[in-house]
Amino acid sequence: MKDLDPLLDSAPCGFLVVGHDGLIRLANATAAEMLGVAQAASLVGRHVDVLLSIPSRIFYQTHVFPTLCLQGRVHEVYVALIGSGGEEVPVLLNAKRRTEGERDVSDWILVPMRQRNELENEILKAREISEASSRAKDQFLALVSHELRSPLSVILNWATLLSRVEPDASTLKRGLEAIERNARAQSRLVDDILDEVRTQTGKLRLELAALDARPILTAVLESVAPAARAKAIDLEGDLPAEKLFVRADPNRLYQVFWNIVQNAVKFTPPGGRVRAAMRTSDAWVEAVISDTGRGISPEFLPHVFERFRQEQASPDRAEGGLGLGMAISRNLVELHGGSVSASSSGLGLGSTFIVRLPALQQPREADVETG
Amino acid sequence: MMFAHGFGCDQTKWRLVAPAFEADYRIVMFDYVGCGKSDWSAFDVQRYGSLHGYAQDVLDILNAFDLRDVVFVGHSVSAMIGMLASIEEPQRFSRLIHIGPSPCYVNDAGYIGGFERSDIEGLLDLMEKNYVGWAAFLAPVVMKNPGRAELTEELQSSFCATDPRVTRQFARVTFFSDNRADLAKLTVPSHILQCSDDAIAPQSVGLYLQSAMPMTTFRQMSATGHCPHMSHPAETIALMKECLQQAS
Repeated sequence: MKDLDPLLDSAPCGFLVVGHDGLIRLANATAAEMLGVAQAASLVGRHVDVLLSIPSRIFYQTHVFPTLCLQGRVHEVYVALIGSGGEEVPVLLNAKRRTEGERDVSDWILVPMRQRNELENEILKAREISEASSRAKDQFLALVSHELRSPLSVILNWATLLSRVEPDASTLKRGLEAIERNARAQSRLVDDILDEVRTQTGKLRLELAALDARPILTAVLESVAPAARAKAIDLEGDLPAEKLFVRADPNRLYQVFWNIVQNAVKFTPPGGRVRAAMRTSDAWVEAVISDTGRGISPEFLPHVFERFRQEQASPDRAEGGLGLGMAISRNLVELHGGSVSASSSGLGLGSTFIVRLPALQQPREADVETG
Repeated sequence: MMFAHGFGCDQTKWRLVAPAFEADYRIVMFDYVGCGKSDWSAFDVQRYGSLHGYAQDVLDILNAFDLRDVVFVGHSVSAMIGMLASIEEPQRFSRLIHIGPSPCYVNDAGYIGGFERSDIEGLLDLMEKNYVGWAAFLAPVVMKNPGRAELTEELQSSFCATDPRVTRQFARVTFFSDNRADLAKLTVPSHILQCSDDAIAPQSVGLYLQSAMPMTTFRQMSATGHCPHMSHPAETIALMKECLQQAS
């Protein structure tokens, strides 16, 4: 090997001269150091292919080498070298072809890019996430349209029917009930979507007051009772005699409890049981809602509170819904300074949701909302 | 004589070899859709989801000019593309010359293609990185200036760069294809030119092809690497001429 100019030998970048046959003719000390090789001379005579990771080798043979042949140079090519310990050494490669005697050789400059490489990996990952979230939003839009249309067509059908024929009293009653039920369902969907938008834009505001949390859960149980009765589900409340004070927005807390209890009834088969209890635990007021329903798979459990997520246990999505209720509930509870958790022993084994809110010790009388 | 480029570039790769045949043949060179100066808007994810879509490009050109008795010279993945086209319409081809061919790049039970699936996934990631600048900054410029040929030209001066999404799919289709079952269907005589020390199509693949392809001859080149038509054009031309003489 020719002696390298000491400046080039210790230059702060790797330097190789690669022959037309792919064999290394010359290497500087920095290149050896990058690869964890003691002597630069030991790189000479080796084929560049074996210094490249396998993917980099393919890229070199199919892209870099032909470009060098045709255009005489390549710039800023990302490749991974393989160090002496088998580790990947990410580098940026600039190479230029020249003639040496009768043969073509190429000069390679290798700049290590470990940090930049990590950054670029992050960027690529971020792009993937953003693309995935954009896909999720598209799916959500399709779902919203579908969910809004179903109640709407029921309402339209009944309205058309009732206006065309002279309905008897029982048909009229049935029709009006169906219209009301579906209009309410649709209104809830719209509320959820608006809440979601407000959450995303940080515009969700709470009207906080010191209050007893028990009557709110009781009201939810009363509102869900007809649905539970219709499925012969045993809906049971277990509330302590003493007041459980929290600082909360009563409408929002109602919404949280309603989402969870209503979900429990929805996913519990006829003849099952849903139990809603309330208790204090250290500095917290806890609402514990458990059911004997279809439960949550261990895979899905971590995603229960994510937006647009619904477990695909029923292939036809028989239960419907937007997959927003739990995400909104968690957000609301967190805005109250609390937390919500879900647990389940698995599919078919029921599930338990616990809402924890900071307990308010001795509220001043003036703060307490009555009634 | 039709020259078909491999994965990674375009017809300009043939510029050191093709002129040597101009006196005796009508030379046809082209870029596959999604490569080089082809009409990028013609790229159809469905059609180019397998090598058959690319084989159809070949047949479309042959049909458009009503070419017959064609000597098809395919580099790398184009060898298999040419083979598929010849199985489809054998009457159009007189012979096939395969340079650095491989019927299957991924190792399989009892077969050494040279790569594991994870290597190919690694290649796709690597390509993504090398095209990240393209995707982020250049693609929008090109898309907004469809009439500005010089922009496209400038892009091509890097890696004959095409749309990275298209290139990614071409890479996937190239390296995950398995055409071993098609080899026996070949009815057109063919010649294999195999490089020494080819990191893409190793020796084992050349030997496999030799035994699995009917009516083929096999030549070991002294040229090393994967692109002998660029690195060793003289030997490539000489061997091609030998094959053609042998044929006539």
